[in-house]
Amino acid sequence: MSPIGWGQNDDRHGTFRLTNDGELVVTQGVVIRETRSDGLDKSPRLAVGSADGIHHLYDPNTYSVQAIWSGSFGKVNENGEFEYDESKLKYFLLRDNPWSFGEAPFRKLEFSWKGYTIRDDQVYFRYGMRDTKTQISWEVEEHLEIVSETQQNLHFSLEASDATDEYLNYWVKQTHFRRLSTNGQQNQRNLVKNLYPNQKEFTVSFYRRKDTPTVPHGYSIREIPIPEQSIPIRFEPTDIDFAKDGSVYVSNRTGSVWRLKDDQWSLFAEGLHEAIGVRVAPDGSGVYVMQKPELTFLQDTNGDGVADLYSTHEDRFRFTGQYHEFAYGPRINSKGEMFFSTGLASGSYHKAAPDGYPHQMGSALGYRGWVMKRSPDGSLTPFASGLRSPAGIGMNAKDELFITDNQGDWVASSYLGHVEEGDFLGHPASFWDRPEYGITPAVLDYKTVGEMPKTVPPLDPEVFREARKLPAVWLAHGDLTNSPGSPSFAPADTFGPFAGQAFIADISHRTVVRVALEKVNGAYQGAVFPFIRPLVSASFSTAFDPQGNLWVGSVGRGWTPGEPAIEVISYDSSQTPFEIQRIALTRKGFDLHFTQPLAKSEITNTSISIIEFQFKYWDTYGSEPFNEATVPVKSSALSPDQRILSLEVPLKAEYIYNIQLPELMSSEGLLLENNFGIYTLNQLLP
Amino acid sequence: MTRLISAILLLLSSVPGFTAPADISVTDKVVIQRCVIDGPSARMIAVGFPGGFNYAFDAQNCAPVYVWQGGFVDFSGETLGRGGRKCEILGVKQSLGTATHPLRLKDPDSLPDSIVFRGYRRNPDTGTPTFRFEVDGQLVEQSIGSPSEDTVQISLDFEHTNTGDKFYHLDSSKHEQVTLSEGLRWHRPGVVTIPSRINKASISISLRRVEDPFVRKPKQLSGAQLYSYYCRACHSNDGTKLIGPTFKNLLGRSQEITRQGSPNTITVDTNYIRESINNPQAAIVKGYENVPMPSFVTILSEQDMEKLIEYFENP
Repeated sequence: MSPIGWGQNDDRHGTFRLTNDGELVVTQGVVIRETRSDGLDKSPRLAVGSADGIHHLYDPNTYSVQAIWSGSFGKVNENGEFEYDESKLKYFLLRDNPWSFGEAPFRKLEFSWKGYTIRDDQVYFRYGMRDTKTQISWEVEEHLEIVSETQQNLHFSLEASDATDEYLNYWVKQTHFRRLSTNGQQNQRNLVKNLYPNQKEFTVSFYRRKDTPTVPHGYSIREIPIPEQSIPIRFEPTDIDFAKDGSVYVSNRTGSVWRLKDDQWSLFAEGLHEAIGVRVAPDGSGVYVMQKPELTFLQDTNGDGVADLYSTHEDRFRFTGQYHEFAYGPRINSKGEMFFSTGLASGSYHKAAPDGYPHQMGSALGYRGWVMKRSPDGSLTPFASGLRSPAGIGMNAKDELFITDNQGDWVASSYLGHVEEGDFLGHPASFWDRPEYGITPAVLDYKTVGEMPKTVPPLDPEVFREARKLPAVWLAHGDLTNSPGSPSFAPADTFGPFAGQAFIADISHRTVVRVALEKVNGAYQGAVFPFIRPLVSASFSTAFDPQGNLWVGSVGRGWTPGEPAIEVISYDSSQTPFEIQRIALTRKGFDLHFTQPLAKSEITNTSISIIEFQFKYWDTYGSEPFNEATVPVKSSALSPDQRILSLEVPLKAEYIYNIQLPELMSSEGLLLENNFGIYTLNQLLP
Repeated sequence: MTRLISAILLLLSSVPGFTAPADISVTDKVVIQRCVIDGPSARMIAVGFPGGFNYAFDAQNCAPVYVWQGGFVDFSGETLGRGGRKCEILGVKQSLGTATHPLRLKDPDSLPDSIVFRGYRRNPDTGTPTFRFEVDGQLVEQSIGSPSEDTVQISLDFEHTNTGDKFYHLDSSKHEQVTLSEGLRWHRPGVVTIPSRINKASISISLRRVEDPFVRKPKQLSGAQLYSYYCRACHSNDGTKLIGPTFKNLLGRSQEITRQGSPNTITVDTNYIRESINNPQAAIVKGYENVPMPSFVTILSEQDMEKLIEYFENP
């Protein structure tokens, strides 16, 4: 133990050598270098070089770890100053002084720097914190454990001067990471880590995304030109569909429908109220478009290529104008039945847990948070409920309907759900519209559609908990998606070995993920895999064209800003990708089916990492993984054709299994880049 | 005159306006835009004619509700941030005397049993909409025009004749004058009778002159708000590394950039900031070559730019 001040180079805990061009190579232990801070009045930052090859940067001015980097620690320039390569830094994006105390309005703390200590080649940064209101103070020892480039654990030891029943909060930014976890309490919405009162040992684990792009073998991405935008009406593709005459119809957020025919764009319809869905009528007589207030049928009656008849097809649901009352769809089955979905209001109206999380989504009732079915005879059926912000809706070749919902209150993580008549998918604000409450008429009319009930009876959590249908596949918030759009189902044979699987774009990750479903006891469950990344912008809409190419529309707005775009992902059928085609549940564990035979390699039980976890069903925004544990792989065996890897693992119902494989090669010599899948195990095999 | 004055006032008031880029302008054809605007429901439809006549139709109650003259709609409620917020009409609202649905088909005082909105047809040449709705099962087509300044003509076309007298509720107390087409008569003040045999009717309303001319209230965003709306998603102001370089200690700092492929070190000044906002690819900060920034040249006004720079000088 050697407590020292700071602002010095510290070579007492490691050895290094300087190369001829000034590079500082740590050969043993840790070496500390001071580096320049932004401001003249600031103290230097501390660069910690490690012989393990992954270094980190700590800023004593802001009491926060800044970044890690790997490879070369840095160079000594001609002035004798230490410099690291800033372009290699992977940041933590913490706030300055990341701690606060109490509940909102959070109280800032007073900080005092106490230096650092080195034990066993690990650096422990030490400081004091004090809350001026209660005079409680803490002695903090902070230490970054670098497990790998993609996982770092930030450990804190905290000695409080007094007991308190208030929370000590640590601010993080989740969206930049694949996942965060903690032994404290996590609130992903506010990006706050709440410490249980007086918790002494506190850890925040940061899981990073790999930053390499992944395009599966045999696939290519091509961007197609989009029409010129005329501000303020923009081209923001929210949904895409294809007509038999070769036209492509694209609905757009600010209310237009564009048509692409023979490589020429033309404006088909305009002036709509946030068009977030488009479907060509099965008989080709027009185009259905979902607007926030209604489902509309657009027809070009004079053949000039522009819609001139805007017919209201269905509007018997409440729309109060709250910005989050989105409407998505339609999707049309082989009987001509049309399905659309409605989102809840953000923070307004009736909330399922009135005393719970304050930013819960609310409902004005009148079929918000529902899937509605409009039949060809004109009747409207409230079809399924429990949706929050169901930004995705899709139908497979078997007329089965799926939605994706977005993480938030009562939705622990974004998910893909299979929707059947009468289902309740989990968000209770939609529950009051169910017939047993007798509040909302079965069919609204002009007299009732605008009348929000002023009061609603309390909901019994036991009742809606019991009614809830589990998501078919959790889309593993952070790991693979943050804001998924519509699922599109791959055609039988033109998009590689993934027939019938769901492809879903995600705005935040600029990716498309792939979902392989299977039926267990008659209900869908399955696994989600990474597929392709990154796309150019905030990818949201997906659609397969008649040739089997996957079109992806990026809206340019959202959590990941960028320019709107349309990209087309094509598959070269002479090539076979190397992917985990699907994960099948067995009685003893999982069978991983590959698209190509694996090379004969030394897959060992320990080289496969399986983590099980659960999500909470609660009013809080999102849920971190709970009951997280490493699952031992008891045995692994490759089938004689080397295409199926059978894993024997202990299984539990209503758990999620994150199955991570080592770097595997196919017999043809391809690397398995997408080497993990996340399986939602709702039910065990009988 | 009013229309001209409105248009001039609109122009004057919006010269330095933050909102101007988000205005939907009406040029040679009628423009229809559905969005949340003032009205009895959230299902409003704004219709703007070339020349500055505009009206709002409520698609929930199937009623023309008000007109305004001057500019059309400031669409920034839809285009800023997450969108979906209320948009502002660019003129003074003048009521058409119909708070809810105006038609009564059975007797003058009973609300229809059913009103069903059926959408609208657009004239392919002019873009003018004809709204279509069913009142107690009868299809009604309604269009609105402004044959002369301060005059609004509501035209109704009923599917059937000889189904009994029809009644149109119209509170004309705030109007200069109301003229009825041939055969129509006042049932009593506030209620027009459209006799059973008539299936095409029109009601012309002479509006009173607007006493308080429309003065646009431009949304003046502060430099900090502009930063927060347009920059913060990619550029932190606290040193945090996001998609783009941080703005912490921006002015005066030494910055490694690449200009036309050549590396260079510059001192950040207001000219560099202007250039980077208007033409972001001209000089890219080292390490940020892979995430191209969009140009804000059409989005930020000169005044916005001044405010932003002021903000960078004194964050």
